[in-house]
Amino acid sequence: MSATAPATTVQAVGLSKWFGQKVAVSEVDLAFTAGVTGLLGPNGAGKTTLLRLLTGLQKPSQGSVRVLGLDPRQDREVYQRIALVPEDEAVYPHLTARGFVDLNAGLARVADRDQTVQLALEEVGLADVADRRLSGFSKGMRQRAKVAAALVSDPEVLFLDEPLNGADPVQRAHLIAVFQRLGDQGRTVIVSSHVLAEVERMADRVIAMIDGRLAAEGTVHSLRAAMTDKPRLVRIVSDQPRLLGSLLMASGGVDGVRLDGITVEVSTSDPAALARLLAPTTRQAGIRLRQVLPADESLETVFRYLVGGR
Amino acid sequence: MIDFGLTRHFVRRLARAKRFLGLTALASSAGWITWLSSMGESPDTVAERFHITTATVAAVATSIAFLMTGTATLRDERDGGTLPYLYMKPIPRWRWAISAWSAAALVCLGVGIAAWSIGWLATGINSGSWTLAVPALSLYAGAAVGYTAVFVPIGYLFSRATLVGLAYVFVWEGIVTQFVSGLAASSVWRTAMSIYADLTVLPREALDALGPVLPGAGGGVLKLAGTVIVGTGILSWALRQRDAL
Repeated sequence: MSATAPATTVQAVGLSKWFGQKVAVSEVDLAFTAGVTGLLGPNGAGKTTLLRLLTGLQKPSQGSVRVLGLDPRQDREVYQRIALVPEDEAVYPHLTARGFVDLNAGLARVADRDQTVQLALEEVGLADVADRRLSGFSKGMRQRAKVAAALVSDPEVLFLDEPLNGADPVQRAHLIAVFQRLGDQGRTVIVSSHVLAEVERMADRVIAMIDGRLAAEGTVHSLRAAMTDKPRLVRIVSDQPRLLGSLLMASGGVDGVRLDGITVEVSTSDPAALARLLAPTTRQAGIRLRQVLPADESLETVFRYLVGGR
Repeated sequence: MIDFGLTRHFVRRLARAKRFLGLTALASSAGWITWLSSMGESPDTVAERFHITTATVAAVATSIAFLMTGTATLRDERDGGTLPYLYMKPIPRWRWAISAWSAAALVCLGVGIAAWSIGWLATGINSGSWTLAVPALSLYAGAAVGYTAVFVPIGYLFSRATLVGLAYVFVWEGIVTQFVSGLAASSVWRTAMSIYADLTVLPREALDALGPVLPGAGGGVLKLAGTVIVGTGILSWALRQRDAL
């Protein structure tokens, strides 16, 4: 029995966008499936332009976009099934949160509007303040109102451009849980962010963009594993760090060792060999291991490697 | 034809109290001038002053008020970053264009009626005739319909929409169509004036504002309808072809 490949919901082929001499997105080929995908990159990497191209807000200079099998520039009915939370803080200050979500529901032809609007507001935790004007909202609350406005049409594909900007830690955790739940429900959630820790927390898959180009894609672990030219860092906490460090260096199985209190940070180009070496070495020397952790598999490290000296 | 949700949204946005009052104050300057200049005058003089100020002062004041409203319809959304909320909805672009235009036209009609009502009060109080100013409603209504068909697309197409709109009002309408008779029909103000001139007897100074255009309500209405079709057609095309942001 062969596993069925997940269906592609959003696809970009040879996608480019330039403004005069400036190339914002260059020959990007991408496919998104259900689940949460993090779109990562420094400011100016082309994340926002890519999202605008994928949602049909901007016309590709070259290449094509298909969302749920449709071209968003031509087939407007796709907007019944997708939604965007734009990066701008922009909302309508004269509207209440309920009015704002209701406006989006009305234009999206949502059935049973009152109840759907209420559910969307509850989903983002704004039900208690739904009848207050957006002009009096904090930045984080406005972000949540924007997310509610996107959720109200029950989208199959949700594009989020820096959705956690301005949200406090509690709000962030809440929104991340919402996005993960949407991904678990089989929706395609594409989240752009420059905050690595957030992407790492919410995304199954990461796409990194640099200078308008696709730099890497995959899980954080697979991206790190693919960087064979970079030695891996492993942090080992033991009761005899100095002895452990000298034994590992003497064994020749590691590239380098650095001591930091009770921690030994080992650099190795062959982590599997280190794993095979560590157990017998510590057992023979009577060293008690307390913790062995990869030190550079965080998204931040992976991203730092990707962008090099930037 | 119209998406009522979209139209209602644009109207609510455009008709915010401060903006509406400010533009009404500007557009009503012809009415105030009539009021002040015709106090204690004979009914014939009141009528003459009303028609002349309406044809000349209102030509500038009203067109600028309608320019501000028309160009703001979509520019406010784009500059404010709120356009994606409206753009990413399953609404055909031609309905989108008609909704934007109709919202701007409704608000301009409101501004025009409020401005006209000052002139109507002025002529009513100073001359005792409450029907004298009624034909001028056609001028404000025609200008609201025609100018918004020009200014709403300009607001979407140009980042310096106000400047482009001012060039249309002062250079195109004020100078080019005055001296090139073949182009006179492209002036929204003259077209609206042709309807007004057909519905009442205007003094010579007011008729000068028509330039080479002849009075005629039927022809004026048809030209305005053509302007609306062309304007919303261009906007519809731009919404389909151009970047929304």
